[in-house]
Amino acid sequence: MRVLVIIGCPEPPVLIPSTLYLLNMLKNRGCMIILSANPAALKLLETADPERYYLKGVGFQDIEKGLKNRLEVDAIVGFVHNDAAVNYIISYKSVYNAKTYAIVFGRKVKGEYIEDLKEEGIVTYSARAFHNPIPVVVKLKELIEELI
Amino acid sequence: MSCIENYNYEILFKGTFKECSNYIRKNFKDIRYLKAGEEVIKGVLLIGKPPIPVAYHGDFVIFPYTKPCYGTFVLKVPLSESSRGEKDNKDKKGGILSILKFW
Repeated sequence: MRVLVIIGCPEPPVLIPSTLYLLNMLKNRGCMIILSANPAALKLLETADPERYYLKGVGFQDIEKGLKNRLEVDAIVGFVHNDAAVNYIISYKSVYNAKTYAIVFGRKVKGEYIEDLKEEGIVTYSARAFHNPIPVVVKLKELIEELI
Repeated sequence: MSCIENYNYEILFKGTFKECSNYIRKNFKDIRYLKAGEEVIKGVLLIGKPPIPVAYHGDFVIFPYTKPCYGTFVLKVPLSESSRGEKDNKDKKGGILSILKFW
């Protein structure tokens, strides 16, 4: 199974560890992973995993340029904590035409983001989390159960 | 560097995607509504929840553009520059391995 993971602005502390957790779960299930991220997020991931324990074999692309690549993927999973992330995930779903999942998180979970994503047919999970990643991890486990 | 940096754009407004869409609807008359992922000018794809308003005013095209960390902007780009962008990767040969970088 080929899965595209989208991460946008890496400002919330939970984003990078949650991404590594998701990559690990996907790799353990034999998925091929493509990561679309902005350059700052890629640098943070590389710094968090200097021996490439989790990142080895993962393909990556710039989040903006990835919209032009139109790769064949079976599913998309995106992290959402701001308005920009909502827009990117909706756009990726439109371009890649794949089943899309989003996890909306933050200090406060904005209902508006969830409504916009659901209106576009995106399966949406939410977790109130900013410093503590556990609520996101719990939702990621639920998401993986449905995805694979 | 993103493709939009190839253009001499002017920022007309900054806000959420919905605010930017409303700004375009209220301030321009000649509007087309496009889907996310459509190429609005060479090398630049529309990002956002469809229908996405794109306005044409004189020799300019006006559209919302989203950056992951900075939010959405309404950009005004001269139509005369609309062929400057990079070539679309969809025509690239060699499949996924030639497009992606791998750790």
